[in-house]
Amino acid sequence: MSTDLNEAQLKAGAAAAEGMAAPVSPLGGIFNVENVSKIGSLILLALLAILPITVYLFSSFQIHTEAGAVGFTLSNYVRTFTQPKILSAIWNTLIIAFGTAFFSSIVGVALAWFHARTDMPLRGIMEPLTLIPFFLSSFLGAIAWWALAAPRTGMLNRWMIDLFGLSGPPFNIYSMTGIVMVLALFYIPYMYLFTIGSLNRMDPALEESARVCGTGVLRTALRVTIPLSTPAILSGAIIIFVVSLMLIAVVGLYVQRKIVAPRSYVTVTGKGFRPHRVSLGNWKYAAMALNLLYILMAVILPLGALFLASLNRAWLGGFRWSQLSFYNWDFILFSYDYAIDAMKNSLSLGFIGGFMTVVLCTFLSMVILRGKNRKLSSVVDYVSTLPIGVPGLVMGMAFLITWINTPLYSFPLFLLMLAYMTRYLPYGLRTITSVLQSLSPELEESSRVCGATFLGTIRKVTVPLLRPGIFAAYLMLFIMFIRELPVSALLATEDSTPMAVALYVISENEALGVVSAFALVQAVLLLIGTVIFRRLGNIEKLSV
Amino acid sequence: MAEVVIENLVKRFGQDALAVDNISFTVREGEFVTLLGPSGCGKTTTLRCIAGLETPNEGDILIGGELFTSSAKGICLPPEKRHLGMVFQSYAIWPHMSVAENVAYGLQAQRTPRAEITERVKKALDLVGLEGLGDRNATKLSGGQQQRVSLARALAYNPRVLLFDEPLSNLDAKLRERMRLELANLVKELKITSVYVTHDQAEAMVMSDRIIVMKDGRIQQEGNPHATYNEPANSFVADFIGVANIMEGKAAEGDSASGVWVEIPDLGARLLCSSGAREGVQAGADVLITVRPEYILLAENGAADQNRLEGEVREAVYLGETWDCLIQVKDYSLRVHVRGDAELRPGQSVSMAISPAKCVLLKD
Repeated sequence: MSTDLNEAQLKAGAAAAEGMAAPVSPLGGIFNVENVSKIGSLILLALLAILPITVYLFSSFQIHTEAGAVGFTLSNYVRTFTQPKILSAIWNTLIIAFGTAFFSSIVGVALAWFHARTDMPLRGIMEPLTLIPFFLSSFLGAIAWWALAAPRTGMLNRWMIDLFGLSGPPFNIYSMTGIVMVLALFYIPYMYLFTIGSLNRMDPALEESARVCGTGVLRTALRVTIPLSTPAILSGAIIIFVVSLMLIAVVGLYVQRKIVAPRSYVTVTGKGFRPHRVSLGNWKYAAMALNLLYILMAVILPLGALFLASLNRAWLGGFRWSQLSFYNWDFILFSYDYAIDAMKNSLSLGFIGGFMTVVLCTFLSMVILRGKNRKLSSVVDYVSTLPIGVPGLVMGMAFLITWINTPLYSFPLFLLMLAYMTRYLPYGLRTITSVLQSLSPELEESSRVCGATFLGTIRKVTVPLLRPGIFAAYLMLFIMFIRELPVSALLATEDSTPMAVALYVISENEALGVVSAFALVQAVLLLIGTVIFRRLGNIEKLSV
Repeated sequence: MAEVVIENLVKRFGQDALAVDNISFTVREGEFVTLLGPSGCGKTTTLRCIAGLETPNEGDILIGGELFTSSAKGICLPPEKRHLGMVFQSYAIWPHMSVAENVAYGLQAQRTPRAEITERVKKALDLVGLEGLGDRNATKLSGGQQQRVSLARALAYNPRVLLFDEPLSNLDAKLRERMRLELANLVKELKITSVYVTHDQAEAMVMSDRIIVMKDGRIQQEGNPHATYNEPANSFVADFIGVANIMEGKAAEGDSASGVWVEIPDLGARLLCSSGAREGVQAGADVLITVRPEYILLAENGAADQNRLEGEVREAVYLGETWDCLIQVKDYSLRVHVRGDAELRPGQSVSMAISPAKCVLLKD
């Protein structure tokens, strides 16, 4: 082919191209729907995550006087780190965080594996029960376990003493073990949720081939199934550690990047496969027993304790039939305006805020996993994980400092919602990315080649395939938003008080009965929300 | 149906990783062209650039005379505006849709009327031999059937060009062999311009009108299967496609009418080579030559104009139709394919004849 002909063709091509729709011009190439939506989500991310934290960091180097912020100084830090009380608090926190992450990872992954991959009996009934602690705030757990296992007044302690004639109380919730136990009980479902998505979507052939190679059930689980879910498990464990640590753990995040990123974890391709469960033999009853014990400790005992307490107007360390009364319930549901407004606020935060966060998370996960620019992807991934390392109180404070003098502050509920979005973005993002990671990009690419646009592909291919992940994320966010305490404690105004703050205020001011009733209302609302989400998520169950 | 023109295509991943290194080629209307090469040679990247799934760093892509990609002009049409069909290695069947919904997808994206969609989906499924399976769940089908769904999906909306990214590599050998022919016949019957990527040379041979052999992001050779096999351009192509004896030698004299005489020290012999890169060869130049094993004939009395060699059988493996043997000629073990009706045993002395037309001078 001669060069002349090529040039002619190039010109003809260019002429044809000019006649076509906008996306072919250089500018149109940048400002198409795809880029605008991606860039939009990046700008939002920067506004939400980076700006407040930066402002907050700057103010930590300043001394605030009546005249305003002054100079640049390290004295705030020096004062913090030279107080022995603070140092020992940091040390205790580290121990608690590590213990919590360790125990909740082991139990949570085991339970997820039982439910996703084995023939453990009663799975259908036990799954929702296993997840219930996730809806209950650990604050509620603390109230419940205080009622159960406080050395002198705890219900469990009293029963044990009466039943076995013990000389002293067997349980003490005011110990390091007690704290780790209660926290672990309430973080186990996190681990479960982080892992289950990836286990559910794994090709059983991967396990079966290991079994055929002569590996036993347990070994296959430990050597194949669990390692293939490493991204999910590691992110989960690190998130739990950091959450319970409540420190800016940039180091932890860095480790996560290094360990999780480099391998390929694509376990779902366009090839279909049939689900198959591992048979545990008689061990399935042991698995069931472990699961039941967990449900007893994390659900039945605490909720039972709260329920009994809510039925006595005055609480004297044990339930008395003679004092049976529905006063607490009547009060909370019908006459206590403060509590009722709090319920309304929390529900709108959960439904609307949760939805906005899920949309943002979906776009961000696509930028991270499907973006062509690897540097940008890793920066976005890193930045959107940052809020995990920021304790809720700090996040609340950062939002307060950043926005207090802006018009945004006159919409306290909206500001609260933005702060929630920021703080819980990483959780939603992890859930969605772990599913997206296991989807072959070719599924989306083939849609584009077939003539579907960027948004059309998202609507008809990506979102339907991500559906389990998206609903899991929405559900998780809904629950977290309804339980959220630290951010709200700083940002909520009289009119925008959510339930968790109200629960705290009520627990300071009212009797255990009222507190228990309100805590149970919160639990029931969360349960109803959960049922709704699960229904929606399962309308079209994925046939993988 | 359209011509594909690739001009000076360059694609880098990151700073240094050069996946495609300035390649140009043309696929004529209705032609079936295969990009063949080992993994990492840039063939899939090239295909993805054509599809619009990758944006090249340099170069132009024209399809049917329209400029689809031009880095100089800042043009890169998104995949959905290109009206191409693509069949992926993993099939990329959407698990949440039925077979018919998968196939109808491209038509729906183009807002085809519903009645026409039903008709064309049926036609596409009939074409690939999946009559009546439209309502099935696509992921419940076998691998071969899934690949057919994938093909039907790409064919349903009459794309300008069909792109294949190693579509048969996930199938078992028997099925792969059958699908090869079926696919090639179907595509040729429909006269759709096709670009096919594979690392399987047999696949490339069977299916293609023309093969483009690639290595390290560059084109090594371009030609029809016959020419590519019989006159490989360099030692990489000779070795990658089929089996080749490659020998080092020195040109005894310059190119003449009958060919180039090459002195080969390992064989202790001179061979007259009349194929390949003869032009401009100077006396005394270092050259590489190649001979295919099946063109070396056992002969007691070969014709006078043929190259003659004497050797001793070292190994002989009987394959039925042929013997695959190694014959030691001085310092070189010559791979030779002998007709199956010959009697051979190790240690036997044989004489061989090679036609000069089968001795190919290589470019490197």
